[in-house]
Amino acid sequence: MTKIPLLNKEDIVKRVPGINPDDVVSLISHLNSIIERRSVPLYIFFNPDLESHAKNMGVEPKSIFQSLNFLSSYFSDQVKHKVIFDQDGIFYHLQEEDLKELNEHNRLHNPDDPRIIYERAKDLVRHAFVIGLDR
Amino acid sequence: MKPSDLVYLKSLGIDLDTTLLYGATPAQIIAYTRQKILSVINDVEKSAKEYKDLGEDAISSIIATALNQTMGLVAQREANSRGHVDLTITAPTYAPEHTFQYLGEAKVWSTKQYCIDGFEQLMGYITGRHKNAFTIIYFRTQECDNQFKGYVEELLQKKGGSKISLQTRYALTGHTHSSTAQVEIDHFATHLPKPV
Repeated sequence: MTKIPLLNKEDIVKRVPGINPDDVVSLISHLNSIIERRSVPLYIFFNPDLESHAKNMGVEPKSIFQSLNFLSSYFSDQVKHKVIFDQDGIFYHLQEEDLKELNEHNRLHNPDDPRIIYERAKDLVRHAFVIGLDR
Repeated sequence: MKPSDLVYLKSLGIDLDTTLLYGATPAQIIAYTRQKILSVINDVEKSAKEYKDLGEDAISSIIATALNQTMGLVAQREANSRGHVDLTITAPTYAPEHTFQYLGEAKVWSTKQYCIDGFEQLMGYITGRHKNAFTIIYFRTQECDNQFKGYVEELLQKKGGSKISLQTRYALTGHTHSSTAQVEIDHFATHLPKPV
């Protein structure tokens, strides 16, 4: 998998004030050490993965989140935030129309069988930063 | 998001706006960002004395820092979009597929024409896909409100467009971009008078 380009700490300080440049650079190195061995995308779920990566790196989970948020803006082709339905043996990235349904009606249709409808679906989805997703 | 995820994020001090987490529309994100900018400006104005010797770059960095603490927004300085834009705000956790990009031009007040030139710069940075952008004017003078109002009125007179809203230290104007797209520009004024 393609590595995330390294950034210069001084550029980060100037470009994104308020974000810890040491944590951003450490995170890029940490993620690259994982993804260089992978051929499939890396999922970092808000819970529990932020905490486990933070523990491995010796930084605060909040800073990991902030750094990932920045990376998903700066390297939007490589790092993306996704809303995922992970239930009943289905692992599915919500598309725009699913998000709209979720937002407006708090429900989702089973992607394999649209006759099956999940109510209170906001309780069923998970959020993740995904690295190395093509689209 | 599972309640446990939300509780977990809050325990980290990450307070995302849950109404925006599921494919928010650009209009919803703009409204949210606008409120955040107004809130940050309000806080900055309360500490005006601390910033008495700061220039435009430093004040813009303070505003970007505060916006970055919201966790939902990412505020970048001097990002490239047909030139170096003073402030570029994105919302990767709120906007589907990075459809939200809110560009802003900052100016320290000197004359109406200087700030109108700033507006022109902004219109040069945005493309037809940017439906919203903003200017932010830092008033280091003792007077602010009448000058801001005069700037908005002269801007519309010289550059065309429509006045959608004009309040104390905030205005919203509508314009036709060179791409023929209709754009709305938020104008924020921040009063940071130098002590007499």
